[in-house]
Formats: sequence, C-alpha cells, structure tokens
Amino acid sequence: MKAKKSQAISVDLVIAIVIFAIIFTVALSLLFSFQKKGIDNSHELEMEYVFANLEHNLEAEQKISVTNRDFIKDYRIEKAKLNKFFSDLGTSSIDQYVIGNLPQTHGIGLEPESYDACLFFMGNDGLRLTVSGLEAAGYLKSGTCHDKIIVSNPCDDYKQSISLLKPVLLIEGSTDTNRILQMNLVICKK
Amino acid sequence: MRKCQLFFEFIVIFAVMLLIFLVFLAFFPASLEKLESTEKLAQRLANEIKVKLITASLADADYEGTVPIPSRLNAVDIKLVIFKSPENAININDTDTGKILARAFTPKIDTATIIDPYGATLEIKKNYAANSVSVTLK
Repeated sequence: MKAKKSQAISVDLVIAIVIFAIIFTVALSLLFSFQKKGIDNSHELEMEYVFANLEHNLEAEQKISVTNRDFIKDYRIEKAKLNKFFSDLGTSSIDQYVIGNLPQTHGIGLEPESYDACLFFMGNDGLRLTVSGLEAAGYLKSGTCHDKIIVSNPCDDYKQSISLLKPVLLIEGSTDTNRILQMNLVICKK
Repeated sequence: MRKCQLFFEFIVIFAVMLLIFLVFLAFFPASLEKLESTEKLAQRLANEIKVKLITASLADADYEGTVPIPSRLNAVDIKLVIFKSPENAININDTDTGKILARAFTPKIDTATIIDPYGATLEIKKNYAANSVSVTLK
C-alpha cells in the first residue's frame, strides 16, 4: 500500500516537472528573443567614416602607384580623376576602397566581404550624374551598380541597406562651371 | 479516491513549482538588466577605443591618443584583450567568469603591447612615416 502511494506521487512529480519545464522554456525564449531584437537594430558607428576611408584609400593608392584615381580631396571632386575612377573601376567591386583597406592603409574595422557598396553623384535637379557612361560605380551580388540602380533599389536582395551622402564641389575648370553635387554611397549588408 | 488524491497532489506540486518560478522571474529581469547594462558599458568602452583607432588609421600625421580603462564596470572586474593583425579586434572580458562582455573589430593594428593586462591606460599611436598603428596597454 505504501509502495503504491509513493508511485502515485512520483508520477505527479514527473508530470508537474514536464509542464513546469515547458512554461519555463517558453518564458525564457521569449525574454531572449526580445533581447536579440535590440541587438539587431544597433547602430554601426563605422559607417560614419566610410567617406573618409574612401578618400584615405585613394590617397594611399596614389602614393604607391600613380593611378590618378584619387578624385576626392577635402570635399572637392576633380572631374578628370573621377572619370578615371569610373572608367577603371565603375563596373567592378569598389568595396575594398569604401569598406575595407588597401595594403598600405589600416581601414575602419569593417570586413568588405560582409558589404557591397555603390557610389553615385546627384545634381541639384535630383538626377544622377553620368560619369564615363555610368550612373553608379560598384558591383553587387546580381550585377553592376549601374545596371541595378537605374531600375530598382540596389540593396533589394540584401539584409539591410544604408544610404549615406556628402555635399561636394565638382571642379570642372572654372568658377562658372564648378557646381555642388551630392555624393552618395549606398552600402548593402549581406 | 486515488484519482482525486493524484489530482490534488499534482495541483499542490505544480502550485509550489509555479511559485518558485514566479519568484525566480521576479528577480531574473533585474539580474538580466544588470548584465545588459554591464555589456552596454563595455560596448561603449570598446567603441570609444575603436573610434580612437579609426582616427589613428585615417590620420595624415603622427597621432597619439589615450583611453582610460577602468578596472571595474558595474561592479564587474574587467580585462582588456587586444588582438593585433591579422585578427584586429579588442575584447572586454569579465575577469571572474571569462565571459566576453564586448567585442569590437578594429582597423589594422600593427603592434600590440600589453605591459599590464589589467592596466589603467590604453595608448594608441600612429607613426605616419612608418605607416604603423600601435596599441599599448600600461
């Protein structure tokens, strides 16, 4: 009789523990899922430095070999050098210049493998500037930035997109023709 | 009779365990919040170091910056670990548990010297002529 009673308690205990464990797991997983959402929305401070990184990388490249692609210096854009940059790299990846670093530079702590970048310029009329026949420089997962940007958002098939802009002065030779442009970088997170 | 007793025992055991769970849940968010705020403080410190390293990386002249490293964050003893190139990262660990409180990937660090792992000052230098970034914890 005693044995039967103790068995009944043990069954009770098992059932109670199982139900308790289920509730406990659900409650904890809910708590942790709320935490994760907060982490995903965190601000990436490195993005503030991508324009400076691009300028620094181009400057360093120019010192190593004279490529004449260092088109930006202190908010000033040299048209001839910009043409050279777009004609040389317009349809290939520019991630190493924007996100990463060249062999003689130190970068900003971002891995270019995790991002793709597109560079383009916009005038006061809101239209993209065509440079060496291209509206944007860079290469994405599904093709060139130029091909993608003229039809849709370049970061459509990416996890996250970040758009950054900087006002610059395009030097075209004389004060009559120099004009202010908006330099845009679209960074797509893989 | 036995069925009734079984049901009653189940209710009693479940109620006791639920009570324990509720008491645990009442205190758990507080401990979670404390851990989260320690991690936030650690991440803020890691970001401060990272910003100094980015400034050094992009500097067009010799650069020197220091970051004071507290020995404790929110009553948690911390230890700073620096990984130079090719890893290029900094970790802030809980000294007691070894748990990583914060991690930041940094610009390329050419040399990292740790004089005292629990040191109070982090020195970040760029030698423009040699084009090198060094980090010293002392």
